[in-house]
Amino acid sequence: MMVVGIILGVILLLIIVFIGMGISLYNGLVVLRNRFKNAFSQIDVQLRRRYDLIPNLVATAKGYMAHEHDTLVAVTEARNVALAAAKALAAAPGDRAASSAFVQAESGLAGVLSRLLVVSEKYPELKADSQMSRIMEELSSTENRIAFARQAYNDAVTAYNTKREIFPSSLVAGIFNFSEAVLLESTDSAAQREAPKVAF
Amino acid sequence: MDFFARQDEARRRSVRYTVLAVFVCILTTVLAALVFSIAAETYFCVKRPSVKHYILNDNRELIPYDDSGAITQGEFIRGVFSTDLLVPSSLIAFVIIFIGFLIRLTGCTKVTEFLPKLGAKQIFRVGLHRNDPLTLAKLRLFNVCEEMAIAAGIDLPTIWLLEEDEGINAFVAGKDPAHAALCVSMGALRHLERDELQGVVAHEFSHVLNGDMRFNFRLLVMIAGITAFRFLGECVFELFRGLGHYRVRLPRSRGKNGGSGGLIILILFVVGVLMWVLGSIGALAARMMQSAASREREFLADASATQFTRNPIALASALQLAYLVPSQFSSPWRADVAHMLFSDSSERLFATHPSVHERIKRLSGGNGEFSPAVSARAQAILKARPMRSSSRYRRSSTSTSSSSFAFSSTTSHNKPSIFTPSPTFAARLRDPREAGAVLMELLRDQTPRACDHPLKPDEKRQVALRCVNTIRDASSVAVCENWIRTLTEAIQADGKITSFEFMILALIRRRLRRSPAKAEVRASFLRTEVAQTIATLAQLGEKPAEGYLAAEKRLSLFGGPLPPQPAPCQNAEAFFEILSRLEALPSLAKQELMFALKETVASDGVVSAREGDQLAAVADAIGAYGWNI
Repeated sequence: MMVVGIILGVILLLIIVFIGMGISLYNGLVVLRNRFKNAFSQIDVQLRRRYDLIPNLVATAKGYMAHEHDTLVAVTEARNVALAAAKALAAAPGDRAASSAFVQAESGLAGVLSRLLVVSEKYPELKADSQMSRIMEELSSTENRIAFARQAYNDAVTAYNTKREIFPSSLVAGIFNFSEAVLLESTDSAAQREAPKVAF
Repeated sequence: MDFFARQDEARRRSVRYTVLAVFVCILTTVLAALVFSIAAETYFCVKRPSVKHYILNDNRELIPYDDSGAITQGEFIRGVFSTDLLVPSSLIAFVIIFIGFLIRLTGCTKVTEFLPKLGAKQIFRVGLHRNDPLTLAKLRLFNVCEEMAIAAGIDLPTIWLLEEDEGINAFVAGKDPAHAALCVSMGALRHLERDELQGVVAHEFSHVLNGDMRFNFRLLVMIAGITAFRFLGECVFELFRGLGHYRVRLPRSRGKNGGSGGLIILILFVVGVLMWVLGSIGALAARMMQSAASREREFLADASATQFTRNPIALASALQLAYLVPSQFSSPWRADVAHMLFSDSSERLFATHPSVHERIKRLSGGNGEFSPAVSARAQAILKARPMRSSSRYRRSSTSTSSSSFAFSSTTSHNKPSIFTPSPTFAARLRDPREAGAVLMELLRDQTPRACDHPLKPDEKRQVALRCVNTIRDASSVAVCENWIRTLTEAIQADGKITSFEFMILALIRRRLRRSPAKAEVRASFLRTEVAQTIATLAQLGEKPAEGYLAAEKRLSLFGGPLPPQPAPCQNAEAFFEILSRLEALPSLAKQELMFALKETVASDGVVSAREGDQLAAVADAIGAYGWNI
């Protein structure tokens, strides 16, 4: 009788311990999943910041860069295209066509922007303008933020995927169907991958 | 090794040291409880009621048996470990530790109160003015912080600027990530490139993310608990000193089992000594472990910063710059914020930061050598800065730490003008003999020879400081004593001491004699002295009562309100005596006192030359390093 009681007690204890471990592993996975989801939404926030900034940039540069009218128009257009693509993607999340259109529009915008920054080198008055230098600072910061948000997303995804695949938590992940998260591949060409250097 | 592996490594090692620190603290507590238990058992053994025992001898006769000395070792040890002694002893030990915690915790201030005391101002993005020349730099700081908050995945802390600190440093304060505050020095804002600033901010945010503020705080509170044993020992010593001082007649033991006064005193004394030793050794060992853990947290923060910026080279060059262009709070604030600083280098064993070469080595993968290009930049920054700055280059040549020392002569809002002597006069100031002569000329109120214009009051102070430093650095102890005598005689020749003469006295006494550092005293113990000092300075202004109140409002570290305004100190020697006691204040309290005194002298709107002299004298006499107005 005594022996059975002890054995039962031990089994009960083991079950409790296992359940406790399971809960903590599950919670750990949830925390990591939420972290990378939040990181993903950050990317979106920063892209919007870039859209909001561009009209200001163009308005300020217009006064100094009369000869670069084409570039400025291109920037405005690329921005509008990207904004429209982002809205389309938001309306139909997960849609492959909308997604690839968005990626295209974004990389187009980044390309035009970096061209503008290169061109603006030729205008010393533009450089001296305090409003312009503030916008340039904001712009290069936005480019950084987008890059850092992507990086943070990828780091968070990597941490999540690693946890998902490593032994004890892989059991919990399998039972509760924690699916694998996808890393953001860089969509830009190598030249565009760098944040535009603002030489002020 | 990539930065993730390095993070894990640093995390593992810091945990190891932390466990050791906790172990040391527990061990100390257990030993302390044992000491109490042994003391109690000793007392009870000796004081055992002597009952007359009778035993039967072989002839079946009752004979008296005296067992007063018959406690065996085994019995004694059993007594020590008996629960009815060990439980109360442990309780006492815990209460003492708890008192230590309380003392440490009452000394804590909220970040929003602590940072202004350092002279930091919170800056906001919305408050940036178009005509502020630093707008762009501040904007950049905000942007960098927000970028790093995204990269690290933390909330943006409040951002503070140390406006008067032209060195390069930064730290985070606050007990948890939600209350974190990032404090950046002016030098860092001005001189760091964007990616270097990014590295610095990323490093600090890593501290936030890894919870290092709370981690260090807990360890420090734990160590404060252990230090309470030492405090207990000191209390016992004080008690004995007090008894000796008032010639209290100690009760003598009368007869064999009579009075126990002597015994109690003996036990008390031994317990006091043991507590002192235990507390000192325990706290020392725990501090060493804590420092080691803190160093590992620095490596961790460096590795995390690399993860966020993916730019270890920029972080390495920021480290090198921060080392070569040290900020002023590297010295006075060390004890309070050291473990949070971006870069700090103090003595090896207790250093909260690893050596800068080691950190650079791990970051850039080279051999930890400084990059010549960055060194050249540091030189340029230092050259562009006024001479008074305590740069590392100068510090290495003068061995003792130099205090910044410049006071404005008209209003407290003016920046002090930095005196640049003409080459011939500068040569005089560098020669120890001539420096003494210049001091004499200053005392006679003449314009010193070779000086091209009459000196303003604050320039006089700066010249005097330089002269004294020259004499100190170049002379032997005997020569220094000689100068002290000569100058003191010159000062006292007319029988009265002006403010300027008083300042010279303060300078030569403190700087030409190498007096040993004083042990720190709690600020609240010195309230009377502080009140007298403030009253003495207040009396130089037009409205002494207002000046006194202005200072009182500024003080918060001195445990409650000051006594009502005492009479000012009229005698120079008596004032020196008071100031020498204030030397024992903790550095934070000294800084606060100086801020308060600044309020006092500025309360009537004008800072006269006399007030400036007196303020400088106080700063030097109490050793408020890094002080400049």
